[in-house]
Amino acid sequence: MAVPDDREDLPVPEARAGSSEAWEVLFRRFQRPVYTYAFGILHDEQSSLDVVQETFLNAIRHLGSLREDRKFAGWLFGIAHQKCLQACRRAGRDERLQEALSASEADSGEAPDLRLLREEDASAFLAAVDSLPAPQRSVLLLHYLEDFSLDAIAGITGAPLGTVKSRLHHARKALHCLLNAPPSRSTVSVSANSLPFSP
Amino acid sequence: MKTPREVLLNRHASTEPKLDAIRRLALAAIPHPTPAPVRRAFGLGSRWGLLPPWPRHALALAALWVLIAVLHFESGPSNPGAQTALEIVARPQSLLVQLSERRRQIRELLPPETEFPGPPPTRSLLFHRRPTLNVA
Repeated sequence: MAVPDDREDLPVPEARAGSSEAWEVLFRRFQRPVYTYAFGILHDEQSSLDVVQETFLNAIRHLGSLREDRKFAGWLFGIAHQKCLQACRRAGRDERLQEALSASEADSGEAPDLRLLREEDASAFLAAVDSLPAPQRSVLLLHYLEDFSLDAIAGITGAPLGTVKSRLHHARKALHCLLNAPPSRSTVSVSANSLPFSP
Repeated sequence: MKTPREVLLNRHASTEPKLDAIRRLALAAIPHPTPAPVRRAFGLGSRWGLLPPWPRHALALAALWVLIAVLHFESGPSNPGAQTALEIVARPQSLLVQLSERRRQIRELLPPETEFPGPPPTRSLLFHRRPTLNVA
């Protein structure tokens, strides 16, 4: 699966005109990324499937409000993000935010980027992602899943650009630490279920 | 070697059938474009909006009108009593001939000294008999 960018040719105008075939293409393209994002936030299969369904139905209803067709992916993930928030509220989860991380925006050196992973590191990578605080996890998933720009992630999550930068930086750094730590340390408890997003 | 994206997506490969089902469900909710009104399909614009949009009804109505026209023409020439006022007005010359003939018959029946009133003044005579004002 190729990571999309603005040049990706998606049949958004056709979908807007009511073409079922166009919607089929769009849904096929985004069903697993949206699910992966929702699952990464909610950690629950059924809730994540509900989020995917509600996201698609909302997209059908409100595609007319999308101004720029090339921003369809970000717009769709924005809907999914809101649905995740609603699911969190419905589940009555802890809404405490992990603002401590966003407070330190100064970069203390770039964390190594995880561009390629070995097979044997895949499960450790997933476990490390799951153990990140929800705000960082959200930003990291959007970054890795769709290669969204920082601006786009800020638009999707509704967080200021500086906050998004900070979250992504710390998520990468934490990921690097978790992956390089011995197995006993990788179970460091980070509240992964807290509500992820608030500026 | 895999990218983080591939690792993340492959984690949920087993959920694909459920996602396919959701996709079909969402596709079923797509509103289909509404078809054009039937009367436009027959080329009848708003001017003909009062006509029934169904072709069978229009055909039946046309057949009824044809039947009425045929019955009308069949009954017309064979029934002399059905002469209408319009047809009489359409033949003024024959009327005048009939009228003068009847007047002649009446003259023959009446005694010779009887004054028979003349025909009423025509419009042109009336027009020339203007009352004159006597300015004394």
